[in-house]
Amino acid sequence: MTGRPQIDLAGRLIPAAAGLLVVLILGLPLVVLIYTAFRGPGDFLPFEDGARWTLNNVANLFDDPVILQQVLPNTLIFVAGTACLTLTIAFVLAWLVERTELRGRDFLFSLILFPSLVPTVLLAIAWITLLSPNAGWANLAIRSALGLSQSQGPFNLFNMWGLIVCQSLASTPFMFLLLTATLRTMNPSLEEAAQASGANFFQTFRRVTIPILLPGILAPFILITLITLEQFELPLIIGLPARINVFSYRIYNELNPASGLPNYGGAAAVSILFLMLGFLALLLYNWVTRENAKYVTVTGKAYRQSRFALGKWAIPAYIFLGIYISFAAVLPALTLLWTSFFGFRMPGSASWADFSFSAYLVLLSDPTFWRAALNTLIVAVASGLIVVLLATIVAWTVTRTRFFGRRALEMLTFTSLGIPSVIVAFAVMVVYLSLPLQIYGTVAILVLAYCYRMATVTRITRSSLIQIHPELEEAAAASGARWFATQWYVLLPLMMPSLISGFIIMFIIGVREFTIPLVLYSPENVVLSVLLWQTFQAGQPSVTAALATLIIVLVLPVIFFARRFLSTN
Amino acid sequence: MLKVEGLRKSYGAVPVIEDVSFSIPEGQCYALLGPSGCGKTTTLRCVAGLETAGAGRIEMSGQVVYDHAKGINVPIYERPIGMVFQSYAIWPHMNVFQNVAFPLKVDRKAPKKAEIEERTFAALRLVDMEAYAMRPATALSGGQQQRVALARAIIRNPALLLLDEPLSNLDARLRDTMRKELSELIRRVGVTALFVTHDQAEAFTLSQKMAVMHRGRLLQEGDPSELYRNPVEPFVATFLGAANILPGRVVSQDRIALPGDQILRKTSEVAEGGEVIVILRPETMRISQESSPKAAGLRGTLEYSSFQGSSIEYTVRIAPDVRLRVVTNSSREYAQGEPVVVEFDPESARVFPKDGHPPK
Repeated sequence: MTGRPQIDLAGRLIPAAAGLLVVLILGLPLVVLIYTAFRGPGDFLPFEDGARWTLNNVANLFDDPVILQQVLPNTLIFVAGTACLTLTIAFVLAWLVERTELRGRDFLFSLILFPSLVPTVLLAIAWITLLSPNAGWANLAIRSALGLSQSQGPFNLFNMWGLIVCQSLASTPFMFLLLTATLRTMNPSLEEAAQASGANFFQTFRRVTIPILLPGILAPFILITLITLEQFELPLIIGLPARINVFSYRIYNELNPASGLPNYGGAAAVSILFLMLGFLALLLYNWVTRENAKYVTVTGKAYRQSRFALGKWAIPAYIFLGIYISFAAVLPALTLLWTSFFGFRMPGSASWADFSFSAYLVLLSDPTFWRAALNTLIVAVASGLIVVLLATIVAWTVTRTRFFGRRALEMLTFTSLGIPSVIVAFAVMVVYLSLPLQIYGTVAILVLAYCYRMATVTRITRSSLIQIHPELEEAAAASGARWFATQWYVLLPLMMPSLISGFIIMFIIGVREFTIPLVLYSPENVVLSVLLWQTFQAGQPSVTAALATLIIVLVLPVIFFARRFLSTN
Repeated sequence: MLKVEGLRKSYGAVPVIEDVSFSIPEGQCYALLGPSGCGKTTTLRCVAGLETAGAGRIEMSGQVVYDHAKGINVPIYERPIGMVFQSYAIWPHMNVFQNVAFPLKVDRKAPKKAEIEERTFAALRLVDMEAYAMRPATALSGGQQQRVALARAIIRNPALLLLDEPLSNLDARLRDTMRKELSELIRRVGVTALFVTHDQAEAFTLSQKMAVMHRGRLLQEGDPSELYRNPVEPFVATFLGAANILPGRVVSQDRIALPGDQILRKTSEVAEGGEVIVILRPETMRISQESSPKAAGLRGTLEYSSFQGSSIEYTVRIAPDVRLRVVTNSSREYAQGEPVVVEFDPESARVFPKDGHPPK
């Protein structure tokens, strides 16, 4: 403790309490998960009477032909395909928005973010309505326009390609945000120097822009790989009908088998296999970002970028943007809006007689809807507040103190980035089924599980703290302020913009979250995304669409806030 | 008023300050001067309570705030100090008034609102910033920030004012005016002050007493002119002002052989045959024509002259690879390559034994 100013009792107790909570929220489920993998028989909870130590769960993993021949290869193809396609789409979009004289850039920026604001289930439902091989509206329209007699196609959503394309459209906004940030921090004089040396546009792009950006692209690429690995919604909704079995679904299936009892040990063993893959990607990510720090060409500083005139390339650029925005935002939104009023009668074949508000009336008079809406709000707000508070204290501890265990705390929050949500939900489930706390099946368990996304916010709070000169806090202490007064009057107000964007991000994640509330589902803690999936499964297209439309209306204002907050982080 | 005794601190195995002791009488301004990394800032931060020393004792206005042996370590917010930071650390989310009033506001025995207001305006008046009270902190110039930082530091009537490189954040021209202003202000407030700087001009103007630090040690303390004229170590001499450093050897009791087989007539306490370092200040020397009959000094060739306005700086080579810098306001111009004599009073030359121990 030498070397820093003395910290009073409050300044030691509060970080210690926060650290303990973080360990409980992030560490405990992980430990229990590993424990579960070595307990059997599979349908017993690890701490239940009758459970004993066993290696069977792990051994079964290597005997299972489904895992080796289906789950692993499918997951790898899905992840690799999605990561590459997402990178390509997102890079082109980011470059067009940040570096060309495209018109309406701010508006386009907001539209591009649309898929990251609504639950992926919502997009999946819209895409199925549009593109399912038999009755998808796009397919029907094309077949009738071309006079094709076949009863299927030409598009088919339900195969590996369909899955990859859909997942890429859904993941693009996240990648897009990371890449626009990278593009913005590139020193434009590097390109200008190439042009001043006589290089034309393509020579500059190929020989200067791309090599300089490469390290800055690699880190987001690894991150998107990691995020694709944990995707569950689309593998469930599109992958399952197409018989594409990826690992997230496999874990879900062990817990919710079509017949028989849940196999906790088996699920835990599969989880560990994929946690190891995730951890590997995380190590790689850590290494790449540290290597990147050595490149001074792309710094944290935002430059005023020179923009290229598109000239004759404007038309292909707008076509590319048009296709992405149509399929990722406009068409899904319109399809759902239409269906909410007209049911499954597609535009062209419907008349005003089919128009009805009944789906909305059904929905609004259903107490389950109100419960789900309230639950969604509670969980998103509560987890947002808790995470922002904990992440701030953790970031403070890591950057401003030499407290014991702070590095371990940092490692733990960082590692949580690599843990798929289906595994989080499963681990939290096992913990709270085993503990004598009556929170399983309540909203509280969802709040705890959602807090797993802490790493997203610690990154923000940390970089914000690094930018605040320590002398500002020292000046408060030298003015006679104790620890709490220093944090309250000086640090918190200075961090407020970052805290607000951290909260908004957590709120959006909370509203979108589907996997965790599905795995931890009970009638009491149902949330909107799960309700959406249930009404869709129950074959109520217009009620589903009405619900989806209401969700979109809920997040529309966020889109315009998001432009301001997300683009600065 | 402030008494620092035997202060030590190390980061791991690397000592940062070693056995630093000094004291400041009531109402005086004391400067710690030294190059970056010499331990001056660490010393200041230990006095403030921003860092904890590894050994020693600190006492201010009769109260022991740190005593390693007795395990006393008063936290910073309970020490009777005010501090001006290098970056000024003006809180950007508060206006000028809020910044200055903060120490009163967080005081456990916070005065009434009306008193806070009165005292804040009084402090602002003192630094001539009353008119800017409601201005946001982000709209202040460097000089204004410094005044606000100073007002904030003295508003609690601290027993001790600490200043960390108070002028280094200003541009050169502003630094000159602020230096005088700061010196005047500290005297007007009458507060005891300790400040650290790497700039000798700052130390000379602001302090009644100063100390030169190097590699964690306090080498010498005294009033500014004493340190300049009678440095006890070559480092002090070279750090305070420009200096020519010549290697020499004692050939007899009052003769020192300099490069180019030139002889300096000066008594030294080093034994015959001992190696010495001779230090000559550029401004204590003059240049004469070699042909001048009275000329006595070091012979050399004029290599370069550079006009500085009020003076001329000459570079004279007195032996292969040994050059002297001479600053003088001579009216006669010398041509490049002209043989000249560098004259000086042997008393102004300082002689130190080469192995580094100060002369007795």
